[in-house]
Amino acid sequence: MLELGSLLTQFLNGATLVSVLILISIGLAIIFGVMGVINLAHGEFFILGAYTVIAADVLRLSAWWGIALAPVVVGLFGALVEVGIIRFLYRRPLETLLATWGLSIVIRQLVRIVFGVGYRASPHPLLGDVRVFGFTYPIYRVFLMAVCVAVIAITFYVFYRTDFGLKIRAITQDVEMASALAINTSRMYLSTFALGSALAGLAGALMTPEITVSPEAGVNFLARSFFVVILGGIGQLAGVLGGGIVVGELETLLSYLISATTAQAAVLVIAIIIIRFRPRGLFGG
Amino acid sequence: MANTITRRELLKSVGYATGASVATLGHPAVLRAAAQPAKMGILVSLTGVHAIFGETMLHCAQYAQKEINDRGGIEGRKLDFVIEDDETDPKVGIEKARKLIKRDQVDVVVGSISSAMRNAVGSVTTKEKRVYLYPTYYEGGYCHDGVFITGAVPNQQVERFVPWIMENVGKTFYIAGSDYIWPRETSKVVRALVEKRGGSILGEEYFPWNTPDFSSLVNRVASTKPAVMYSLLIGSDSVTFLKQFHNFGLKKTTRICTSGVAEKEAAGLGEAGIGIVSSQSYFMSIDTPRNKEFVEGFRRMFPNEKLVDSIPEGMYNGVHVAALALAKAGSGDWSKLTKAVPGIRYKAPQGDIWMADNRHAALNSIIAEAYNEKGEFRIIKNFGVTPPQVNCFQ
Repeated sequence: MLELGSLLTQFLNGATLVSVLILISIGLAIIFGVMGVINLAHGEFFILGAYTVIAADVLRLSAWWGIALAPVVVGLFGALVEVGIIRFLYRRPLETLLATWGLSIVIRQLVRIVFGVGYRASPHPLLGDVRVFGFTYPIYRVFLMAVCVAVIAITFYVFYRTDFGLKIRAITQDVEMASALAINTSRMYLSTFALGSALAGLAGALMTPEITVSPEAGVNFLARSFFVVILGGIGQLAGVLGGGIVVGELETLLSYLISATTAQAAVLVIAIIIIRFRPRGLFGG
Repeated sequence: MANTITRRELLKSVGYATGASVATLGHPAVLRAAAQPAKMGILVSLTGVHAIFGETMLHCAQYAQKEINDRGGIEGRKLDFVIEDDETDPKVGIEKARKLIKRDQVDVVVGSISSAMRNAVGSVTTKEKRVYLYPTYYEGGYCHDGVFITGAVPNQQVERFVPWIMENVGKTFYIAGSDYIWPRETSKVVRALVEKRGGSILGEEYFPWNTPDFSSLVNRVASTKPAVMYSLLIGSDSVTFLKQFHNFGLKKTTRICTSGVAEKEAAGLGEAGIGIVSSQSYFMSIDTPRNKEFVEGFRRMFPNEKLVDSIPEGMYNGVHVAALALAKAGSGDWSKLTKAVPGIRYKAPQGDIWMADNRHAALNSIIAEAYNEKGEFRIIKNFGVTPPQVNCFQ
């Protein structure tokens, strides 16, 4: 059964899931790392990205426009949420938990009112195959991985090689010290939250041709992203990479070898075992 | 497109119904029986993942109610609804069923989608001795006093479909389904029919709810090369899988046949849905005067509703069958009403149907193919009525 072609395909399938999971989880991780906010509406930000593509289609714009606009639209929405809600709840993780959970319900209902309760579809932007080492693979998935890798690389660059990133890392380590050094923390919080939301929105837009677009669909990815962040080590960007690779590849490769139900359970069990021996995550201190 | 039932309307209808029952409490029993409207409890998912079906189910029920009242009600009694949202949660379903029976004192309960919800609601209605009609296609085998089913069971969806597939598509099958009872029971029937006719099942697997990525299944199907991909995935999982199947270009070699896709799922698939063959007891495109009248009338009442499919049609039929039974029995009295339902015949949008002695409906078996990105189907073959086969096990 395990021929080389399908093994390679399976590896690429895993890589697609991994890159999308990382893109979603990075937003979740930086928002938590910098602001101490656990954003339960992150899955809804993801699905808002997908609905941006649907809206573009309704306006007779191509899916590419939708994909390009999604991070902008969702990023602005995130900024609005930060100014309107999150700003009042800094350093109160339990309250933000409740507030963002409520927000997720509000977003779902708004989407329902605007787009209807039914599943929505838009034309596929890029159907067709590409040859990878002599085997064919859908070209859109290759594109998707390339975009994810590029965006993840840019995010890392911003965090570790720019002034902005330096300030953010300073805030993550010690807010009071950072503001004493004339870092405008509330502006940094605003940009962090908008950036995290934009990444989720981009991921949602990119995944539109591959997933079910419905008001409820964000939850599927939210649970897995939390998992990635916790497994990788909270507050660590590198941890998100590790967590994403473990969760995504394990689930895809295992579900090729054993039944999907058992595979999904096995990933959970393996993760629990890892957390048991490395309570701060794979990359946590 | 906007959600046309608002909380206020809902509260109003609930409030109206409870008000009516309070107002009639003082009357002597005889007088009350003549003056009181017949009351139906409508239990649907208006929030949660099943809202996608629940909203249209409610609208279909309300359209049936309008038809009944326009024709003078049930033996002169007006038909009133008490509408409740089960929130796609069986625990809530149990509470709402109790409320409908004990506080609102409805004569009969109609509704629910999932088997879990039906088991929850049925556990209350049978104990409280109130008749309950369940409108959704399901795995069969649910046999409890006073629970009647207007949705299809596996033999009605599959018995005619599988031989047609083997004659017209191919003899090698791959089965994939959501990991719960309906796909597992249906696949048993599919497997038996395929193997009896000399075909083979190359693979059979089940997936947990909300699986985001089906590429490993797609990969396995690509390497086993079956002629037929028989999908028993449901709801959003069905849409996700079929999109990915299409994106990998597998529709060129393998045909999707399914009893889990109807108009609503197909609309979510867009171009990925074209060519899918489905077996249901109802499709919107049935070309009969009766169905045209139904679709047009329904759209006049709910202009934002684009698609009706077999589950809401089952709900519409459920309300009509319940009304006919109430007329026959004269009241919601348990012993009279449970005897009144079997044998009822109704001219439904899908064609003639009747309630068999095993508490299930004899329904039509229809095969259709999705032909555009809007989720519309073209009828391939209508086999007419198939009686329900039910081996009680639940």
